[in-house]
Amino acid sequence: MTDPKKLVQSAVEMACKAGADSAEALLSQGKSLSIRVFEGQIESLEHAESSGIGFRVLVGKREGYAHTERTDAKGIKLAAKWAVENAAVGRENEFAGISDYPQGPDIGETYSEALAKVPLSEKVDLARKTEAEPRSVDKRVVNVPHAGYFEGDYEIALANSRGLYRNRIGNYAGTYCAPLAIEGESRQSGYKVEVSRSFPELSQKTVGVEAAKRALELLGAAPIGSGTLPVMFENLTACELLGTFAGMFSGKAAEEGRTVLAGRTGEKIAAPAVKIVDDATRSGGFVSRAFDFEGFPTARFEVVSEGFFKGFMHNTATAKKANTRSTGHAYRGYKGSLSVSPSNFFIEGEIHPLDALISGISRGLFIVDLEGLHSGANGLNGDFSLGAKGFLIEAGKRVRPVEGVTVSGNFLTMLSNIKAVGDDFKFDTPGGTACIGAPSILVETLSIAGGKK
Amino acid sequence: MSVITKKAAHAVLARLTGAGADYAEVFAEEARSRSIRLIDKQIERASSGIDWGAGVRAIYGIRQVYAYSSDTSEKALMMAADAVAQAGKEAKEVPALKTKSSKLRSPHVFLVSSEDVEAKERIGILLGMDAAARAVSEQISQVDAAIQEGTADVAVANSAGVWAEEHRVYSRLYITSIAQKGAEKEWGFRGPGALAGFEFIRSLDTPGLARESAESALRAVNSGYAPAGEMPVVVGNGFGGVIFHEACGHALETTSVAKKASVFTDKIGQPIACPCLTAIDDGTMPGLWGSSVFDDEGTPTQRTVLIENGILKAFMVDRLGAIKTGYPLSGSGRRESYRYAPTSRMRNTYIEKGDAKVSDILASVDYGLYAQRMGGGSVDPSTGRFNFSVAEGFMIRGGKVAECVRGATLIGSGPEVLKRITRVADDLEHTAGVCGSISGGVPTTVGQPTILVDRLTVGGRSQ
Repeated sequence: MTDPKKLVQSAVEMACKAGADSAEALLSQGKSLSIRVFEGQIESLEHAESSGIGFRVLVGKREGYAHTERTDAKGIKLAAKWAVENAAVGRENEFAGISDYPQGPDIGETYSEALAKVPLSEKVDLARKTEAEPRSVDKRVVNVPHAGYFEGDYEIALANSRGLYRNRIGNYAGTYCAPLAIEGESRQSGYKVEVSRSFPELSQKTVGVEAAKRALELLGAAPIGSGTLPVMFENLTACELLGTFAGMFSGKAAEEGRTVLAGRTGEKIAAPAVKIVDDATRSGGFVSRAFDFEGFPTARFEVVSEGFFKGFMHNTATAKKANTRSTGHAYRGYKGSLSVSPSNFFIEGEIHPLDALISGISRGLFIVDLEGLHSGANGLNGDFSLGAKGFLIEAGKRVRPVEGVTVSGNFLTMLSNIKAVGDDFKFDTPGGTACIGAPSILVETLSIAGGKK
Repeated sequence: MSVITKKAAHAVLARLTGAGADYAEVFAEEARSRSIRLIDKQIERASSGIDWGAGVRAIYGIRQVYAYSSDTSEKALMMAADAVAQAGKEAKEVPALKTKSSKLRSPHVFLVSSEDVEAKERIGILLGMDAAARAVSEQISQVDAAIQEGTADVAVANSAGVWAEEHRVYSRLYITSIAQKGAEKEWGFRGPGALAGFEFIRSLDTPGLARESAESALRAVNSGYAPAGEMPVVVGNGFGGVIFHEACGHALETTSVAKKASVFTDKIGQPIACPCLTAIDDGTMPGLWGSSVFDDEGTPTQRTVLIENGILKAFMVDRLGAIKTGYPLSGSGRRESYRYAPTSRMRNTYIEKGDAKVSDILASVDYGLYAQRMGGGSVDPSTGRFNFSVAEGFMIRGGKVAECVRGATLIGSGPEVLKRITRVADDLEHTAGVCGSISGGVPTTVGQPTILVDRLTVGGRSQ
């Protein structure tokens, strides 16, 4: 394959020749593999390699976009011409800019050569092992409908006509397992996932065993009565909740009137110990980056600090319009236009050992699974109403599994009611360009609607 | 076609059949797209691009393995094939594979290429539509309009010896007008599309479509809520066919038939609908949005009669579906792009026209709902139960179309409704849409004449 640097730099040149006042070319290429195993056999194997160049050009104050997955000279030249033509058509955006920015910080090693060299057969074996594990745990595990291995490997190269060139690579791999356990009338599945940049480390994990244990401990789950209770969200469940509402902190959303946090910078919105951080510079993180998608250097950014809302995540255009500075959160795919995205986005609070937190609850719910995040959560105002599964806690002890209840509340109100967090901080599977992290979170009270009165 | 060479395709097919694949296939594509969108009275964005890549598929027994790459060199495709072959058996020597070009005369005509149209013509059309919609009433608070054009050059080679190439051209125009009354907003939508060049856009009465969308929005925002209850429902032509598409059509695709997830599995030859009903899925209709010469597996498309006079005749069958069910291929293997393995999908699906007059059907209803234009909805695929919103509805009183009502939904089950369609009019119309399923979003049309469903649950807000 052609040298990425030459590819994007020649793309920028072609756009300038085609009439752009300034031009930016983004090369995004990646490989992904997913192997699903069912009853010891490869059920599906998907191998994907994608590569595309996206142009963003300025002609006067007008911005133009075009993309090509055909990365030979013919494809690039055509897309460059289109980008310039498209700029002539769109409306003026006085805040759009293309500049040379300083180098970003050191972000550690984000690519493992060793992982890239693992032969396919070993990955297939690991997927098989993950699928086989649950059945060895207990005979009530009757089936493993979902289990397998996945990996991602990506490269981003960015150049612009102001002389900027940046390049980064990254990779990761993971295993997941969701076995089904049955006892009497009760059917429960458990889900566990592990992500790592080290194949040997990943191979040591017992995702299938952990997932089976979770399915087994949920057997016999039943609703509890409605009421207002202390609620603990298990780490990955807290990640899902935080990820669902991450858009509320976007400068693009603020500009377009899509978040109730607009105009509330500086206000207290969370409990005093709560921090919400986006840290693209986190050493070796799965989505860490020294520069964002317009080449602006990244930095650790505390969105919420000591309970106060410090400001939105911005790219240079949304920042300029809001009369502030970019926070290094520009994002675009090669097919899309410039927007805003978090990177390593996580929540922190006053840390206590997880067991101590549970033993301090007189009666509450420990939620380990949420359903309906797409339809039951309003990203504009933070309202949520979600199906939940977990365990009833009484007198500091897990007493029985729970399902068929709905937990509802408001994300911002919930932030103000965070009592403490556990010592089990964990990052979820990277989703595209962001990776969400959280410990288990104990919330003072939330409303639970159950089956029995 | 320059995305892949025959030599590379043959090498991939040989590699896969050598690894025990019962069927192997290479799909390659270059798709060019151009879109321009107006909102807030100005052109918001124009964008264009080239999608380029190839997908490699092998079927072992009833298992399918897929890989794709936007690097279409022989080396990259062989790497993809190696990954796919991992799921197969031991490698063995197989004789070299050859394919034969399928030559079919295309009934589709593409006259005006997107590249020969100046941007100012598109801008003029969109600004003209904005003005026409807003001129309808001061209550029109927003107009969102777009023109989308695309070409796709696809090539398919498979181990059955097929080599098929096709050039497809798509043109579509969208407009949504929003009418506001106090804090309430309602919208009106029109979105004609065709397998044709820019001549299709030029043939449209674009200010007229804009006015229609504005009038729809306006009627809705100024009307009261629909009553709830069971009643006769007259479903209007064109997009009304979305109910058949969603609640019956998907259940007639082998993807669901093979899993026995379809209520129609094992029902071929049996009556499943009123004898007045004939339903067809036709991929061959000249210039229609859901048509193509070949499907995305290289099989020539067909006119497939699904239901004839109430009797279930056939399913929509793709390669994997044919292997799983034994039904013959119907040219229904479709995919959004090289990033997806194909599966059985609808093309142009419609209820065949009858001989009743719309006015006679309306006159036969003493009290009921006239769902003139349908909106979106959802279906539970395992049961066929659906819930669709009515975008434009009217009450029928004493055989006459009365006041406009909004907020109505139609609730029922596909198999049940088929038996309750008692009259079919002669005003068949097809409406373009994009159908989403496991192989991505593909262009399809839904269609029907005006029909009478003698009893259907209407969900409304008013008592």
